[in-house]
Amino acid sequence: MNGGDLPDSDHVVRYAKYTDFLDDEYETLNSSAFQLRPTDSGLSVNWLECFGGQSKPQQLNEVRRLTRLTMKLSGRLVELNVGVTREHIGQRLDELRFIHKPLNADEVYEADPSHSEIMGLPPKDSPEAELIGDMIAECVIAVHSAKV
Amino acid sequence: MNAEVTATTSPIYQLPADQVIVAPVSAYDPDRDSFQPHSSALSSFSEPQRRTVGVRPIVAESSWITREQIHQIRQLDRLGSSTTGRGATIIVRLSPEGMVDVFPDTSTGYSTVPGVRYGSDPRSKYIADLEEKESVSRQVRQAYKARIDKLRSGAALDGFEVNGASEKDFWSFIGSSGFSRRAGLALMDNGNLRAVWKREDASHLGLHFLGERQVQYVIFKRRSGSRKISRTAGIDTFEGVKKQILAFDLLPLVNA
Repeated sequence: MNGGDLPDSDHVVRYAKYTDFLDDEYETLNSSAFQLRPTDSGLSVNWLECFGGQSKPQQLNEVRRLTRLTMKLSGRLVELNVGVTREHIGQRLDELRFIHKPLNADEVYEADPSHSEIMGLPPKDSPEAELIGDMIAECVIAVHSAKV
Repeated sequence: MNAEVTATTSPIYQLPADQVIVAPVSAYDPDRDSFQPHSSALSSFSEPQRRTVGVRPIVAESSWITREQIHQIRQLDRLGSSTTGRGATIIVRLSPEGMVDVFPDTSTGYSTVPGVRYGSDPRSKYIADLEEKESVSRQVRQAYKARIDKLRSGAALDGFEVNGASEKDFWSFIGSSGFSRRAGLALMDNGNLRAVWKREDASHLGLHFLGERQVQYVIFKRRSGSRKISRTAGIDTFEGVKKQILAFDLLPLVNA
């Protein structure tokens, strides 16, 4: 699967900071949660079904355990369905893809087999990037705690 | 006080249910949680005025107005428009069946009785509207300030801070736009503020305050009579963005 497209039926989560949300209740997300950093070619997400045979809470726990990010208590993991998101963004972009890019273990971190990237996003800080970010935010189907 | 003022036998024009009458208060009964209208509201009726305005028991001297009938209570010193009441002025909600009736032969459409103002009085309505808008605007500003304070704290935890130029532009834009509906507020990674208004009909306005009175905007708008949504984004000045908002008919999105 490494380098391949994630199945449309599967799900990914992405870490969003408190400041990425538009309200105190974590109900609506700003486009900032789905914009590339200047040096990145893809947007990091974690593929939940990678942890096959486990329940959703167990899959999320694996994501939390293996992440290389410093997840804050005030942050959240936001969940997207691959196919629904691709179809929705397809109204505007032809090239959006969810690609599996597992991270190998190194001296500090354990391997993260769930790591994936959303590819084909517009350059950060452009008007189009904000528009696409807002469209992806419309596809969020669940918001989970980043730390438990 | 007399029977004439309570008569409603002549042809009448009934005020719409959403209009209000303002009456001065002379007494409050805490046991009944009720207010008594000041008699001067009625005693100065002249015969022509009686013909002009008919007031049913709601402001009759012996009538007490219960809390449930009251739309709003304002202190006289804030109202500044009545000298006949003492302590407070009540604004009475008009029920659909109508508690206040205005005869149709009035030339102005509203009462000239001292101390009684009608919602149909253009000047009174204008003042009431202004006060209502100012009250809503103050609440929205306070909510924005509280949200920005929280974003500031959140940003500090993540090692960045709110961009002062962006925040200044946000307040300047909000102050000049008169939008009465509260937007969601978030921070971009560079510390700029972004305000987003959304509605269930998929209309959407995102304004990212770049500083120097420049705004990066995102607009979603469902086309009339269609399931298709128009989407556009760009960078413009305050004035340009306001024109876009008008062009996309988004005022209902940004106003309560």
